[in-house]
Amino acid sequence: MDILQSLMQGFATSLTFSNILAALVGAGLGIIVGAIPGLGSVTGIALLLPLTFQMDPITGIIMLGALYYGCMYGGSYSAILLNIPGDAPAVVTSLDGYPLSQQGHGGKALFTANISSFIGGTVGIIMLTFMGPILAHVGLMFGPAEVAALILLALCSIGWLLGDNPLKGLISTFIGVMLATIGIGTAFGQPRFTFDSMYLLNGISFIPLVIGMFGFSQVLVMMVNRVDPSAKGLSGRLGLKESLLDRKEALSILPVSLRSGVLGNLVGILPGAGATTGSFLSYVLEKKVGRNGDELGKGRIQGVAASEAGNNAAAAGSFAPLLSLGIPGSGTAAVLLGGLMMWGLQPGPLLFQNNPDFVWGLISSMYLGNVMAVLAALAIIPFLVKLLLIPASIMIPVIAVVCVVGSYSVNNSMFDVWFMLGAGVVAFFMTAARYPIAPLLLAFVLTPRLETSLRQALDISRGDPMIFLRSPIAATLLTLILLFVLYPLAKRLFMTVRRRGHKAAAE
Amino acid sequence: MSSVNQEPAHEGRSWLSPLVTLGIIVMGLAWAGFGWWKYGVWMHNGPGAGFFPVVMGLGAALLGSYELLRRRFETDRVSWRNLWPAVAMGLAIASIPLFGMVLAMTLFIVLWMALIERQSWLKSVAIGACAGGAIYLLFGMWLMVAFPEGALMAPFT
Repeated sequence: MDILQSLMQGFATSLTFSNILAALVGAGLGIIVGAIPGLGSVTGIALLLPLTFQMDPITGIIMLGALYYGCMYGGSYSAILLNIPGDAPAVVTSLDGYPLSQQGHGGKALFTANISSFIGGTVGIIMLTFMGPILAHVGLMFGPAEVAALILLALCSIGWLLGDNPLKGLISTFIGVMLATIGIGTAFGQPRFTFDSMYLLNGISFIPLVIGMFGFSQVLVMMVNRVDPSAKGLSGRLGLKESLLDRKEALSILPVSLRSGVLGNLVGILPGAGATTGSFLSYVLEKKVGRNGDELGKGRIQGVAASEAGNNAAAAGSFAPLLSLGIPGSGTAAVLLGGLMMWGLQPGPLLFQNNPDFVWGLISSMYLGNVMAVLAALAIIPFLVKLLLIPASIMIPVIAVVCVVGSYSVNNSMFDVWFMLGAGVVAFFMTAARYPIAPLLLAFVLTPRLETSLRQALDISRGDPMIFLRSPIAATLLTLILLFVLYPLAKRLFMTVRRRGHKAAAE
Repeated sequence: MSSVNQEPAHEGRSWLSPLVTLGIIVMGLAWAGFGWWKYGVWMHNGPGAGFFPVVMGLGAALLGSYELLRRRFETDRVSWRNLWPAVAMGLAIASIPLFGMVLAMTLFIVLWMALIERQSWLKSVAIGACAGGAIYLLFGMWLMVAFPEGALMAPFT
């Protein structure tokens, strides 16, 4: 009851005209920033942070919270419409979102992304409200060994789950890990594969890589495989009415969004695991337990729902360790932590006691920000889907330019622009040779954290690998990895034996 | 643009798939070699900086070799025309030190639409100007991205 009373007080603080306006402005700006390839929520919050110092702290944090949510909604738009993920978690959204657009269901994909983002975000915020401090402590049970095992589980499932040829998926995963070892990693402090280039010392920048491999390579494909929107009859299917989900579709994404929301939130609270892991593991879960799991990756709204709900719930989850323990769970939470400290607030166990108005104002503002973001996002769907009607003769040069500008704006570096171009050409040839690109990018994102956690775990145990078996959580995760790897092999063996049996019987 | 994101592809040049696979094998062996000899696989209490490069490099090289030996090469149809945007954009990027980012990208859109897509010059200039203006307002003004100005534009700024 205390929590409910505190939350109501929080709503009383946050539901003023100026705060609602701040949430609306924040959500709108967030959607724009999130939709621009190359810019993510960290950039958005960092840009808006100085402006909010003039405001009352609660109004400021409401605006930032809404911007954060807006970014999560906007990040999926370019992934669905153009196959250019706005940020890392949107890589998973593009797996089903872009094929849906190609089939003329871009509106449905956007609608699904928004609704499942809302459901996942709401699940995440409710869990944060009622279990925030408990969740934060659960998160702390994940030390380096457990985090390493969790990321290894995600890595092992990538190759098997994505693409028609698991072997090529696995090779792509290996390439992603290899690319991630370029530069001075945090685990070793030693430059690797930099070839004495100062541009490679910090490693490969993710945004130019993803823009090149997904966005620019798409331009190269479009050059020959042109789709005329009018010939394909898309124009008749891109109205608001056609974008809405029917009753059956809406009911099919509800359970997906709910279970992805819970899983995404739990992953989000783990220090450093982030929204990408949340989004990807939710997709993996759906692929395994969903009714149409086998169909995911071919353009199914359930795939979009799993990814987006997991992503938004993880975003809410990353606030739990920030507020309860003062530990940011994501890059964006780290920027917010800086903002909180500049307002004179010290996140940590005492924040709930010393500044209850602020904490509950923030939590209630997340409900407000989520509602504002979904309303703003749904309002612009009819305009967004019209993008799909633009002919290839205009789309090709414009997308190519967006790729260049987006990759430049991350670090203001021309090296990144050239790198993006090279990555696009390489990805084009890899895709033509049927090597899937998504496992490469996901492995690239997950590897630095895996390498650091593995190193830390073995440092703690003085090199004894048994640390992974002594921890019940890590041991369970490693058992799951074994099952993940062995299951497809065992299934194939079983099928071969059965086929031979049938053949022998027939003879 | 993963393979799952593509429409059913036609079978294409048979040399492309083995060539890409061969490239992956060479990359894997290079990573494994550097990791083994230069960075060290194991330190006194755990994996060294070369551990992941060696394991992943050998993994990629072994699986790639298996893929080559299996001789089941599947390739989508590709043509030199696919690479035109990369070549044209390469030229546009190379011209940025002269024209600056915004003008170079505007010129790219105008010239591409007029010369490659055979659209009218009026339409090409209108779309190029709109896109260039949007990039300048959104990235240059609002997000304050410091675009390269270019030698030709320097006297005017």
